[in-house]
Amino acid sequence: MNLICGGVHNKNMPSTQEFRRRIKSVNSTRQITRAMEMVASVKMQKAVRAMQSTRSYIQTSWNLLELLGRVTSPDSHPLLNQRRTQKTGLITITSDRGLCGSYNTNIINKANSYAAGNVKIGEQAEIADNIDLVSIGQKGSGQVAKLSKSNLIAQFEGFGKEIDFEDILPVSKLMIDSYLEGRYDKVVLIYSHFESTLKQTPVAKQILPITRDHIDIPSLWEKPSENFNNVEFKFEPSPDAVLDRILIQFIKMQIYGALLEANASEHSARMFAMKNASDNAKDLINDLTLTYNTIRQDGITREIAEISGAAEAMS
Amino acid sequence: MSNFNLKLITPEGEGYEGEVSEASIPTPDGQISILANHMPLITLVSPGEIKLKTSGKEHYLATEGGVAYVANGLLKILADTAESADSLDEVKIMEAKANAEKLLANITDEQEFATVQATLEKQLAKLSFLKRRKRKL
Repeated sequence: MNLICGGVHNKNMPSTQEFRRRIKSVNSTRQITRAMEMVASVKMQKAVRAMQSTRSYIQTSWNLLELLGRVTSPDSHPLLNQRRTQKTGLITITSDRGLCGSYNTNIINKANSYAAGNVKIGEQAEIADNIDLVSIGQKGSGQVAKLSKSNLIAQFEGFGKEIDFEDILPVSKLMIDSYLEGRYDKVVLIYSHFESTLKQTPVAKQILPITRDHIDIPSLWEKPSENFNNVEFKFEPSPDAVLDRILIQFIKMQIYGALLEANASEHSARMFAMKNASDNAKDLINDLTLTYNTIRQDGITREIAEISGAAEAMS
Repeated sequence: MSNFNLKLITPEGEGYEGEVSEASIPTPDGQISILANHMPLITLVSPGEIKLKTSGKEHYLATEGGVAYVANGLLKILADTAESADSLDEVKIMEAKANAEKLLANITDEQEFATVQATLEKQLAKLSFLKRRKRKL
């Protein structure tokens, strides 16, 4: 009987057919993860380019702010005034889509430790008694909403693809208005800072009030800042009006810049998550192929043994 | 006529860079023209039309406003947006305008009214820019 069937006899072992099926399924998963890896890589490059093209604007605004700082009185604008922090507006940026490794978890952990008072911004320690949350990104919102001492007041989605400057205007308007009305004494942004393709760190950054300490104008920027020392400017209509305009633009740029960085980080995280998945799939395929071959060889050996045994018995 | 350098920057990148002989910018006090060796100036830019002259040719850009300054032989315009007539989509602008008008009709809050009115003003500026330019083309 066995001789005719020629199949696998050991009931505990899966059949070679079963293995072929498994290898095929892992292989198709691998094709998907590899495609996603490549897509993420392209998107990341795009996001990085978008990030770089904001620099010129941010730097010029900063130069103008420094200049205006000299000609206006320091307390002249409410967006620059430091107040005792009683209530904080917190913006968290997570992704809309999953499959990006620990990207969202890192942001949520950072937000958690901020709410617990473990994150210091500048020199003073935070006592975060009361936090109003604005969550950007669908994936994080659920978990962010569970933060202690805080309540979720707004949620924004749909920033996953290409981000236009205009897209952030609702967020910036909400935060600036709330700050000016005195609902918040401070606005903090938690997002993933894109250091390089390999490294992204979650950071907490104060965006309101604007203080010199909390703004990092990267020293690595290619162009030196312009020198206005010997220039006597005429202001139209007035220094305060120009200051107001630039400050508001500057805050919007901070949010926009953070979103672009978060976007680049998200794609980078997804790229690596998918790369790991593809690598794991490859290992799995190798293992399965090895087992498959062993089983197949076992079957052949057994058949030969049986044939030769039968031949001997007949002779 | 002597030339000077102009740099137009938007949040999304550098919009225009090069030598121009004259630049005309919309400001709260009306359209101002800037020639070479203009005195140092920092001004707000209103929604409207930026006109650039380079060696006989004229370029037109629609902007939603921003800040501009002249110093050290350079005119820098920090614009919220800067779009040439070709890149503007009349249908989209009409839609945005209609939206703003609809919102305006239903608003009682003073602050919101101001915001929507500003949006409407921006769309109207773009539209009038587009109409003028399209006719000339």
